[in-house]
Amino acid sequence: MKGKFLVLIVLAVLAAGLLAGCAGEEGKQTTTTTPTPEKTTTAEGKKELKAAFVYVSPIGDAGWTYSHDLGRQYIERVYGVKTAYAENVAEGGDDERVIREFAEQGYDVIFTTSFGFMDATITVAKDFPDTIFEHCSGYKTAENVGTYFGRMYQARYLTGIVAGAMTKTNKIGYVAAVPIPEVIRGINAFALGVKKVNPEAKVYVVWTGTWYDPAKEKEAAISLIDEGCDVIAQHQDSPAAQQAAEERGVYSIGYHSDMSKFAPNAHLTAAMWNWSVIYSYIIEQVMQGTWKSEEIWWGIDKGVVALAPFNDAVPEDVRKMVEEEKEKYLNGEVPEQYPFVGPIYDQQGNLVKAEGEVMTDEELLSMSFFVDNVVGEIPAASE
Amino acid sequence: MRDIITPVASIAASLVIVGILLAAIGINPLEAYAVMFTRSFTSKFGLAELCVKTTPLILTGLAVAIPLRAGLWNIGAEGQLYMGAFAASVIALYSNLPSYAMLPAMFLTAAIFGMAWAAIPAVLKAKFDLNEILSTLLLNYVAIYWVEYMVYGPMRGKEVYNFPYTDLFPDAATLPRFFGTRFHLGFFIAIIIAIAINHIVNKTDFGFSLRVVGANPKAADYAGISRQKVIIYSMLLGGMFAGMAGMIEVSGIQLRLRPLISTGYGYAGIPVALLASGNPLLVMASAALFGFLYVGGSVLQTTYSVPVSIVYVFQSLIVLFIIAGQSLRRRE
Repeated sequence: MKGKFLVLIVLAVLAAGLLAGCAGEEGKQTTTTTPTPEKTTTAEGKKELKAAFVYVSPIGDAGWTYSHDLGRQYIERVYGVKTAYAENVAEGGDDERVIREFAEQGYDVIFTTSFGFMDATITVAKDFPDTIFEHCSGYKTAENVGTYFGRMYQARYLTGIVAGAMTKTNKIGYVAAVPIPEVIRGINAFALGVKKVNPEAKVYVVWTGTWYDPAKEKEAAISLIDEGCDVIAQHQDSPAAQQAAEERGVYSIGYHSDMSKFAPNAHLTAAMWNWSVIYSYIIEQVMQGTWKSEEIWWGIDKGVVALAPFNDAVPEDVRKMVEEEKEKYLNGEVPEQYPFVGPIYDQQGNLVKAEGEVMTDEELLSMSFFVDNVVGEIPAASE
Repeated sequence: MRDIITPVASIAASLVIVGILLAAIGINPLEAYAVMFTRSFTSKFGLAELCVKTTPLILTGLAVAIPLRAGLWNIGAEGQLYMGAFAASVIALYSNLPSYAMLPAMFLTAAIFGMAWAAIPAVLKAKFDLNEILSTLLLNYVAIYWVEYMVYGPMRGKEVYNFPYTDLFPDAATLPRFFGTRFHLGFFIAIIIAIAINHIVNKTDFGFSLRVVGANPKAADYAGISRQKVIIYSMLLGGMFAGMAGMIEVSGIQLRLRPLISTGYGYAGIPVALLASGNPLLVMASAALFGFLYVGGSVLQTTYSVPVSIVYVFQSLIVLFIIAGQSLRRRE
């Protein structure tokens, strides 16, 4: 029995040496971070601002959390804010502990970047009245809890115009993650953009049921292409659908960030997040001591959502059309809710909003129907 | 005694390896361990969270440990947990029971649904000798998708902005919490169950037949012990514990049903049971250790902003060492 322990220990030491050898090179480049449980002060004696970010998924290289992390890096770079983050935090189970951890460590502002963190954010905020909490995409606020989100559907609508103009088969594919209102709203806005320039075209939706599963996303995209779709859009965290379009020689529309590097020929444009706009605003408010709980839901006019540069394949008249529509948001010609302005019909042909009627933010945030030029079902939502 | 020395040695060895790994990414391992330890054990909230994580792990650990005594691998605790959570949620949201009957009814239905879910592979194993590893594993997906279907469809709440959640449970259907933390009654329930099952395993005829079937099925036949019965009963017990874990998780922590209610508690039950060598009392200790790994893992993240993959490497290395230690021991 003693012998076996010896074996175990020898194995351990060997493995340790191996690991140390492999990791040595990397280790030299990284700097030591030390825990700083108390609020630190800079040389001038001014309080250094500390902000923490709670992410629902790993940062990765293209998706939702990646776009938020670009914002985190931005405020660190530009405002000298000391930031920290925790990735892949489970909603409902681990979120409350992680948020509380950050609050106890004295972070001044805590950003929680997933809808499912809402209740945990509110709960912890009650115990830390002097800490500022900002929750992304929810609807519950408190004295020290603000909310923020972007009107991504505006950018979706503009990309829909591009897709509707570029399709030859009048079939546009859409690889969608999970049927929650945000995703459904994006599909509808996109479809309304398609309809604006091409009333004949239809948007074919395939659900993957996951936010991040490159193999599944690619498979879904290929099945849409096989059905005759010649433009592929997506609401997923990986660029796999873009790569499928590139391989099959059809067009694609990216999401979250500029995905052109993954599909240089296929990628026409992308509907992008630019969270640094909102993060900068909040940090400035905090620094000036003027922060108060707000419900921020900004659109393309503030730059929170934007379009990626066009592919050379997009002709001038299409670009002009997109620009004209975008201009309407900028000069206030249309309400923020545009394109969700009647007449809007659902898939069954019922009139949801009459001519000129504007959908309310409340209706947008709980959207659970498809507009009439979408082909596909919203799973299990057929009440 | 060996039940204790081997795991302690495994844990010590893994701490050394992980320490070197931490040092390689520029973190002082001793300091990191100290921070993990103090934040988990010296604050009210740290301790509460430790118990919160330990509670379902005790039950899923038992869900694996009891069938393991009879030589059966219950890989299905995850699915049994989901079915228990589903059943408890139905009672919580739709039964309108008086408040004194609510929690007991949720507990009972969760136990029954967990058992029923385990009964399928149990019967298939007992009657047709179908490999229980495969059947329990595959049924997990069915249960998880079933819950997903329910929360996207019939059980979707009215006040959730069309997100795939049920509404919050009424107060009568939530386990009481203490000290202003998430520490809840479920912790004591899990402890009582572990002690009770320890008595059953060690002091009753059933416990004896469990061990005989596990150690030597042929001998069990000669001794007149019905192997089929032992297979079915041990799996049912396992399913019951996992189902209870599901109820405790939705009623104590989540307060509603949603997809992904478990962060892999059912699967974590396997190393929990292995580390405890199937001993119900030791399951409590090993569940606490795994609870500490979860809590400590997020402390590592919040304190050092290390990538979550490092935390997973850390956790998996420890599991790997534990399993390696157990198999070395078994070969003696």
